[in-house]
Amino acid sequence: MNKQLLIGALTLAASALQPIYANEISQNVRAGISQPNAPENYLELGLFHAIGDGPAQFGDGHYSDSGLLINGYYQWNDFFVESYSESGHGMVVGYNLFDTDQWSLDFTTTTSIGQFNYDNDGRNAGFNGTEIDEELTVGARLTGFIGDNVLQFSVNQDATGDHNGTTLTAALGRSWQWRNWNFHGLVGAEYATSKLNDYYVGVSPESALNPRFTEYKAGDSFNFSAEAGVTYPLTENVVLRMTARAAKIDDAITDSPYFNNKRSSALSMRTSISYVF
Amino acid sequence: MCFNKKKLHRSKYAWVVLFSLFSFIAQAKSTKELTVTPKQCIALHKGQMCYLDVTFQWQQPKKDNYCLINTTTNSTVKCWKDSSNSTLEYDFKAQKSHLFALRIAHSNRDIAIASIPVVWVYKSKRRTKSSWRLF
Repeated sequence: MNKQLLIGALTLAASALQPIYANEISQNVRAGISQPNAPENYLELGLFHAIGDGPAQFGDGHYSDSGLLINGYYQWNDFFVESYSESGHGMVVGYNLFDTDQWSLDFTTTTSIGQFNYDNDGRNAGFNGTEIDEELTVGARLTGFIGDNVLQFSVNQDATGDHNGTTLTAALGRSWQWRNWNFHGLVGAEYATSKLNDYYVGVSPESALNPRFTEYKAGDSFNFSAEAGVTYPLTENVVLRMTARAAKIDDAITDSPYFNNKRSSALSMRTSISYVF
Repeated sequence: MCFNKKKLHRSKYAWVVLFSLFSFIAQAKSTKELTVTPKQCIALHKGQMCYLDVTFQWQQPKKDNYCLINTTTNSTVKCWKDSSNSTLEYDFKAQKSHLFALRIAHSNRDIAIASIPVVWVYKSKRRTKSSWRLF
């Protein structure tokens, strides 16, 4: 039980570091938004290492994680499948409803397949026995290309019926090129309903029978985050990525009795190297 | 036996002549060579400007006035007076592959050529109204 709680705490702490706007805008800006180009169908495999600090149930909240990453994108007519380890989602299956020079609207279904705990939305593997592979959402994302900036709004609704929670996100990103280094910056905000937060960090009357925790009902939350990163092509097939993130986490989440370290900020750094097929 | 000795000697001479010929060709080729290092410029996405610090090296058998020409843009990179070899540090910046040639000044004949290919990790296409998507 303790181990489960520890994993949950670390996961939540780590997840709090992920960009709440994460979605696919991080891919957009890495793709060089100032230029009218888009990566087409591709697959890449790589290794990552991430370190971070954030709220936690035990210890100082520091964590370190390494693993395999799989990024890919496949488009067939207006349907697409994408997986991007830097995003907050696992695999996304979607349909493009419309696409103009400036705006693109996608219908999306999001699973947690291929999702990494440091990249989740903060409520994936929780203290209440919830599991990361249970996640399934439906939603939409509107992406605008305004000058050198990418603006993205998205809505995601739980499709499992477990909690019927909803998230609304907004993010703004931009990229710059210096020599062959591709820098990017992102800022974003996320609103999550109390149903969602309570499902993951709330303490039910039953759980409160454990004397270590008091009953807790989580409310709505607003999280904010910022990200800066750089992508560099080492060879024609090998890419290096480095990303730093900071997040402000709403007290509605960290006030949960599950958290011992209730810091409301989180930082993380991630480096990856991947081979593009 | 005597015949065999003669045949052996003739064979030896043939090898010497062949070796000398190959050496001459190889030397002639190397003296005309124009090299550029590193070999290619790597950008992340197709269409991006690619940057690369390169070194051109060239050598010729006789002194003359030579010019290094970017034949893709048809512009002169640098000219040397009364030289038979030189090295040039060059800041390459382009969105596509470029060809370079060494020429005798005021002539249009390429003595040696070299290229700097521009390659990309993510091959992409221009955004079209109907199908383009960043992600």
